[in-house]
Amino acid sequence: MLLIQEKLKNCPDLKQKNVFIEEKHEAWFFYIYQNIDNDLLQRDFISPIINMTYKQLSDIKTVKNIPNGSIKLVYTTDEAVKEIFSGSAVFVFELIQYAISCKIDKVEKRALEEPSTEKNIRGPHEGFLEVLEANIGILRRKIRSDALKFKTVTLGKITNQTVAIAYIEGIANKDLVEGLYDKISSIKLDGMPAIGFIEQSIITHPHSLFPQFLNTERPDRAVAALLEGRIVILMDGTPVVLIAPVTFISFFHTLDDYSNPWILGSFLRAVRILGGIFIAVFMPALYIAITSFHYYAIPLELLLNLAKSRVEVPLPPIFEILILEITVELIREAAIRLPTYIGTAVSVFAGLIIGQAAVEAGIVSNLVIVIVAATATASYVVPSTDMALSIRIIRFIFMLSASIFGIIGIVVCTTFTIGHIIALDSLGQPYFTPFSPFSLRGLKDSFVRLPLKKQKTRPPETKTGKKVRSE
Amino acid sequence: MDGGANAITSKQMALYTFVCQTGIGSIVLPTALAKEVGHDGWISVIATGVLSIAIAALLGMLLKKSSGKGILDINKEVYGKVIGTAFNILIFIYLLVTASAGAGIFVVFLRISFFRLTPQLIMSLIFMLPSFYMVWYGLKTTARFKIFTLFSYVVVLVYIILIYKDIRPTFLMPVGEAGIVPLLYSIKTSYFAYIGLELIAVFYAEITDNEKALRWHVFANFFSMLFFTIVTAVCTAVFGEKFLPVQSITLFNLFRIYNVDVLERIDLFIIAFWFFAISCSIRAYIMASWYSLNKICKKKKSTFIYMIFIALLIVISRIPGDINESYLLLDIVNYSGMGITVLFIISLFISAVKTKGGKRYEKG
Amino acid sequence: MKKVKILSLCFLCFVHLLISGCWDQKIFEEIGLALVLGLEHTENGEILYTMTMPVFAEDIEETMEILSTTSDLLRQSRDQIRNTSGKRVEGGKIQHIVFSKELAEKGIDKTLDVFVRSSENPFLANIIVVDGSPFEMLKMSKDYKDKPRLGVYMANIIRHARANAATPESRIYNFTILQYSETIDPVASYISFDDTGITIEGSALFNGNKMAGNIDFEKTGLLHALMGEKIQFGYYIKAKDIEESVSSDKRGVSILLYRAKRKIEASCADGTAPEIHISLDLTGIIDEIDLDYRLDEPDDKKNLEEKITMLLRRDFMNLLKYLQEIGSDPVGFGEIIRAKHNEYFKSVSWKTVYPKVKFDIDVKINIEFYGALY
Repeated sequence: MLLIQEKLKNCPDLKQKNVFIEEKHEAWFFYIYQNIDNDLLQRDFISPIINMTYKQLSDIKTVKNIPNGSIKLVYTTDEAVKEIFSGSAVFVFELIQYAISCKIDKVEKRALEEPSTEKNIRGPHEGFLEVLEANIGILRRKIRSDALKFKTVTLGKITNQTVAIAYIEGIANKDLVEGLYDKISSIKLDGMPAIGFIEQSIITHPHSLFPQFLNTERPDRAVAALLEGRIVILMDGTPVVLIAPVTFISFFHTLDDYSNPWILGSFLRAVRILGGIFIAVFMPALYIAITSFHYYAIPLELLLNLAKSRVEVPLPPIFEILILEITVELIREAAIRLPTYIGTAVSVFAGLIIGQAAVEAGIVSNLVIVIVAATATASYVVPSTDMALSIRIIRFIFMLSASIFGIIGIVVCTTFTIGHIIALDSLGQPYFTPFSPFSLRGLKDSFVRLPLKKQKTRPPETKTGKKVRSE
Repeated sequence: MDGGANAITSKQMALYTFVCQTGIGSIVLPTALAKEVGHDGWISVIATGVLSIAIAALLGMLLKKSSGKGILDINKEVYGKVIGTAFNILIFIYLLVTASAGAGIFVVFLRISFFRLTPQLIMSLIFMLPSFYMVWYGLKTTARFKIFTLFSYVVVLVYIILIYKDIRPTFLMPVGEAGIVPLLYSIKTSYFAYIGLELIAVFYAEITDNEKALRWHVFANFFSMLFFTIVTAVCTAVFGEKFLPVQSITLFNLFRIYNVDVLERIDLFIIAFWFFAISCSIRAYIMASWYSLNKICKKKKSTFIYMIFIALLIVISRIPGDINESYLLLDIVNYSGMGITVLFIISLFISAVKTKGGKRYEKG
Repeated sequence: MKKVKILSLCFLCFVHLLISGCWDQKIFEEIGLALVLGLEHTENGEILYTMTMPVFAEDIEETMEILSTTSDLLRQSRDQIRNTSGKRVEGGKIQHIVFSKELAEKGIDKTLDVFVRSSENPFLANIIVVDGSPFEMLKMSKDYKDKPRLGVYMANIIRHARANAATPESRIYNFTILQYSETIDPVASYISFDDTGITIEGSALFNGNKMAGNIDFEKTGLLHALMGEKIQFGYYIKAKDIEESVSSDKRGVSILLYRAKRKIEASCADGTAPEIHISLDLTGIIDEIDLDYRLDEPDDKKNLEEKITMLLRRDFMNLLKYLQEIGSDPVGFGEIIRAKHNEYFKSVSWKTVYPKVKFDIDVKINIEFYGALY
C-alpha cells in the first residue's frame, strides 16, 4: 500500500478513495480521475465491492462475479501501478493477496471525420481515431469475420503504448506476419509520438528517399489492404496506420479507381501517374537541360517567344527555376501551419508575386512560371503524402543533374532512381513489382485498372497462400 | 556470394544476354559491315546469327550437363585448383577489359554526340555511377533493370517504322553482290556483335530454373539476330553502301533524319533512350567481372575491394588515347571473346565427359 | 574535421559548377541562333558566308541581325562572325542553307561536310538554290514589311510549296545520301527574290553535286510523279493545247493529280543503250474547267481523259529529254539498273550512257471527281 502511494506521489490526477470493508478493514480504490467513467466506477465497481465481505473478497470466484466486463487480478505492485495508468481502477485491500483491477476507461475521442489529406469522391468519409480500441472496433465492424486477427504488443519504456498488427488469417502470409511481429517487438524506444517512429525503426533501407510503408488514415484503405493479404500496423495515440508490404505503384492508387467503372478508373490512374511522376519530375529538368545544353531541340515557333521572354532575365535557367521552386516549397510549408483565413490571403499574395511581378521585374521568364505552376499542381496529384514528398526531393536532384550534364544527366538520374527502386524492398518483398520482377498477374492492377472480373487473383507481393480471391 | 542477391530466372538471363549483345553492337555494326561487303551486311548478320545460335545451343547443352555449376567452378574441377584459378583469373581479366573497353567507347559516343569539352574522367565517373550502384547490389538488381530497356528497343523499332519513306529497297539490291568469300570473311566482323553469349556460362549457377536456360538462351540469340538484321538492313537501305563506310556512329545518324512537325529534331530524345540500352550492355560486363572477382577471392563483398575494382575499370578505360585506339581495344577484346568462348566450350566438354565417365564408372 | 573539409570542398566545387556553367553548357539566351545561311563565291574564289540571326532585345529596333564574312572554310567563317556578333553564334538551329546559282554549279558537297560531321548541326536543314546572290536576298528581306522573320517566312513558303509538289523535299541528309550514292542525283529547291518577297520557282537539278539545270514548279510536280512520290500537284492545260479548233475565249482546264502509281522496267542489252519503259497511273480531280466538254457524258469524259493523257505524255517525254540533256537523274534510273541489271551497270559508265537511254512512257489518267458542277 505504502509502496503504491510512494510511486504515485506528485500525480494530482490520481484519486485515492478510502473505504472500509465490513466497516472495519481499510481498503483503497486508486484511479486516474479523468480517464475513468465515473458512473460505471461508482455503480459497477465501488458499489458491489463495498457490499462484499472479507470472505467474499478472498474468494476468487465471487470476485470474478462482480458485474463488470473486465475484472483482472494483479499480484505485484508494479502490475498494479501499470493497471492504474492504463485506465483501470484498482482496489487494494491488504488482507487479500491480490488487488482487483477493473478497466472502465472513458477516453476523450473525436467523432469519425474524413481525414483532410485523403479525400475522395465516391467512398466512405470516415477516418481512424487516436484510440487503438476504437480503431480495432472500426476494422471489426467492417470485416465481420473471425479470420481478422490482431497481435498486440506494448512498446515504449515510458509511454507503454499498445501496438497492434492486424491481418486476415489464411490470406496473409504467416512468415511475413511473424517476421513483422518480431521486428516490432524488438523496438526499444522511450515512446512513440507518431507512427513514423515505428516505421523508421523497422525499415530495411533507412536512407532511401522512397517510403516503404503506406500511411493511411482511412479505414476503407486498410480494409482493402487486409483483403489483399497485406498487414496493417495500428498504434495507440495516432489515427495513422501503416500498411505493409506495399509496392511503388500502390502509392498512386486510391479508392476512387475502384469505385468507378474500370475505364474511368484507369483514366484517373493514368492521369495520376503521368502527372505525378512524369510531369512533376521531368518537366523542370527537361526545361533546364534544353535551355542550357540543347538549344536546338526547341521548336522554331516556341524559340522566338522563349527568346523574347528570356532576354530580360540575367540568371541562368537553373537559378531561375530554383528560385521559383524554393519559393513554392516555402509557401507549401507555410500553408500547412497557417490558419485558413490567413492561408487564402497568403496564397493569393504569393500567386501575384510569383506571377506578374517576378516576370516584370525580370527575375524569371514566362515559360518558367507555367512550368513551375504545372509541376506544383502535378505534384499534388499523388495521393500519398510520403510519396509526394519523395517526388519533390527527387525533382531537385533531377534539376541539378540536368543543369550540369543536360539530358544525359536526366538519363543518368533516371537510371539511378530506377536502380534504387529495384533494389528496395518493403518487408522483404521487391518494391517495384509488378514491373520488375515482371508479373503479369500484378500488372492488371498497376497503372491501369482492369475490370473486376479480370482481377480474380491477389497481388503477388503479399505472398499470400490463397492466390484466388473469394474462393 | 549469397544466392539471394544473385538469383535470376532463365528469362532474365536471356534478356541480359540480348541487351548485352545489342546495346553497343548495333551502333557501329552497319558501318563495319559496309566496309567489307557493301550492301549485303544483313546477309552476313543472318549467317553469323545462325552460327551464334548454334554456339549458344552448344554452350547451353554442355552447361546442362554440368549439374548446375558455373564455368568458374568447373574450371577448378577440370584443371585442378592452381591451373583452374589461373584460367579464372584470365576470365576475370577478359571481363574487366571488356567492361573497360565498353565504358571507353561509351564515353567516346557521348563526346561525339553531346559533350565535346567535358573531361573524360568526370564523364566516366558520373555516367557509370548507376552501374556501380546496381552492380554492388548484385546480379538480381542488374538483371531486373534490363526490362526497362525493352522500352528503348520499342522506341527504336517505332522510329524505324516512322522513317519508312526514306528507306530505299533498291539500295539493298542486288542481293549477294558481294560474293560468297567476302561474306564468309565478314562473319568474323559481325561475330563481334554477338559477343555476350558466353556470359551465361559465368552466371549459370545463379539461374534458378536452369532446365529452361538453354531454350531461353537460344531465343535471346535469335532475337539479337533479328534486331541486328533489322538495324543493318534499315541503315543500308537509308544511307546506301557508299555513305555508310564514312560514318562513325551510324545508328545515331539514323536518328537525325526524321522531321517531326513541331519539334523538328527528335534525335536528342531517341539517343537519350538508347543510352539506357548502352549502359545496360556495359553493366552486364561489369557485373560479370565483379562476380568472377568475388568467386575467385571467395570473400564476402567488401567496399574497399569494390573501390579498387572501380578505379581499375576507369583507369583501363582511359588507356586508349583517341577514337581509333578505342576501336582497336574493342577489336582486341572481341578476338579474346572468341578465344574465351572456345575455352569455355573445351572446359565444359571435358567436364561433361568426366561426369559421364564418372557416372559410367559408378554404374559399372 | 577532415570529413568536414572534404565535404565543404566538394560542395564548393559543386556550386562552382552550377554558377559558372559546365564545359559544354550553351545557355540559350547567350547564343546567337543562325536561322538562314547564305553561301556564294566572291570574285577571288573565297566563299561569302552570310547569316541571319533574330534579335530579341526590346531596346533594339531591328528584329534581324545579318552578318557576313569571307573565308575558305565554314567553321572559320563562323568563328570570324563570332568576333563581330555580341552573341556566341551557333549553327544548331539553321533552317535553310541558301546557295547562289554559281556556287551550286561549281559543286556543293564540300560545304556540307560540317553539317554532317557535327551532331549538333541539323541534318534536316533545307537546301535551297537562289537565282542571284544570297547576300542581297538576306539584306533585302530585312525590308519586307508584311512578312514575318526570314527564317520563319522561308520555312512557311517551302512547307506549303512542298505540300503541293511545287518544290522537292531536299534536306541535307537526303542530299548527302544521294550524292554519295552516285546513281541518283539530288535535287534542291529553286527560288528567286525581289523587293516584295521570295518566290518559289521550282527545282534545281543536279548532276552529281553540281547544279546542271532547273525546272519550274509545274514540271516539278511531274518530276515527283516520275519519282514515284505519293504527292498531289496541279496540272494546267490551256484550251488551245487541247483542241486547236476551240473558241478563243475558252481558257482551259486545271486538274489536281494525285495517287501516282509508277512502274519502271528496264531492258538492257550489252553494247546498246538501255530501254526504259515507265508506266504511270494517275488519278485526278478537275478543279476548274472552261472547255466544250460535258463531263456527265461518259464519251466526252473519256475523250477529255485521252486528250489529257496525250498532253501528259508529251510533257513527261519533254521533261525526260531535258533531264537527259543536262545529265541529271533524279528519278533514279541508274539505281534501278544497278539493282536489277547489275552486270550491265558494271560494264558501262552510267553518266555516258544516260543521255542515250530510250524512254517510253505509258500514262493512264482517271478523273475521279469534278466537284459540284458538270
